[in-house]
Amino acid sequence: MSKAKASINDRIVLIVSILRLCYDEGEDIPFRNILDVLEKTWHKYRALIRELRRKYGELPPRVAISLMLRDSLWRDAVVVGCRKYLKELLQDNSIG
Amino acid sequence: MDIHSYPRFLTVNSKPFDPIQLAKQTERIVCRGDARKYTAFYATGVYGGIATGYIVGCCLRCYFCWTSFSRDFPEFFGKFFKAERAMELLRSTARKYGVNKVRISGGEPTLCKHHLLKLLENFQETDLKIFILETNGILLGADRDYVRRISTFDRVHVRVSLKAGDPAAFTKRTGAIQKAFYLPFKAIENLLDYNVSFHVAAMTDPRIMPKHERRTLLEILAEIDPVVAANLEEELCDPYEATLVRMAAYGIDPVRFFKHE
Repeated sequence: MSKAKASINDRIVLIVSILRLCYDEGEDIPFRNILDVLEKTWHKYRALIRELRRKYGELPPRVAISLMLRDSLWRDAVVVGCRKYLKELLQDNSIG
Repeated sequence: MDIHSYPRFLTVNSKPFDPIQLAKQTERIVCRGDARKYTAFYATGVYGGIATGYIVGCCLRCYFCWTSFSRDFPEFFGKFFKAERAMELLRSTARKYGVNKVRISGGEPTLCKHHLLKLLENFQETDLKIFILETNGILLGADRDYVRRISTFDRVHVRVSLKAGDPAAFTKRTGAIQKAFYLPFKAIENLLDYNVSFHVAAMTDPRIMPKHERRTLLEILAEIDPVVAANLEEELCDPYEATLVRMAAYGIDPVRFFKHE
């Protein structure tokens, strides 16, 4: 899948998955570890995952997500994905 | 400065202090021109490996804080390092440990403004990938121009660490006056306005922050910016030596607190 062919929806799905994993995994691992887990389960998004690994793989996950906001290929997907994930987070009964 | 009134360990009877004033008091101890007190330079595994300069001095007194006793007794710890030398040491530490990220930690990095701005200036000359500027957000909320100046540097990422979701809890946990609760949120707004790369962390450990307060905190952040809220890094409290002592001083039994560790 080329960058051009990758739809914004694919990127949004990936962002939401990344945020869910970041919540579970914490900040003491590099972003590439999160991406490694995703690559095993999301073969469809392999090209996008590789792009993220190349650009942000060695950074801490939250730093990587912040920097993706400055990346024209990812910005819109990060904004929409974060809004989606936030709804999930606020609807989660376990947070009171 | 009356050294006897300098806030040290937080106790349940501590009188709330103004963190801006405490920052000034502390700066008189830990800053000298463009030099600042440091206790050590080495790399740690956090952030997937980062070279760290351990600084002296903070303007909050969180009872769960992990940093060394230099926070509470800054006059007894550390040596002064000019910004240029501190960056040299961060650089050589990064090289020695094979990492390309740097930070200063163990206190509040935004104290000693002159030192920090010089340090970031020196960082620009290196080939290091990123400088992670950890902060409690007090001074970046109070001084908008400080944020503007930070925004002029490349490869600097700010991490604002929040302590509470409401003013009363903020005072209870940090010792600072309730009014100061709003400053870190102001810092977040300043960082957004100046387009600085940043994310927010919060001590949402359920043993410290009740669920309803965590929800309030998320709602406040969502109101400011949904992306910031969704990318919240949630912190857990660990049983570091200084944390155990600070908890005991505050009247919390650390053994009971950490019983499931």
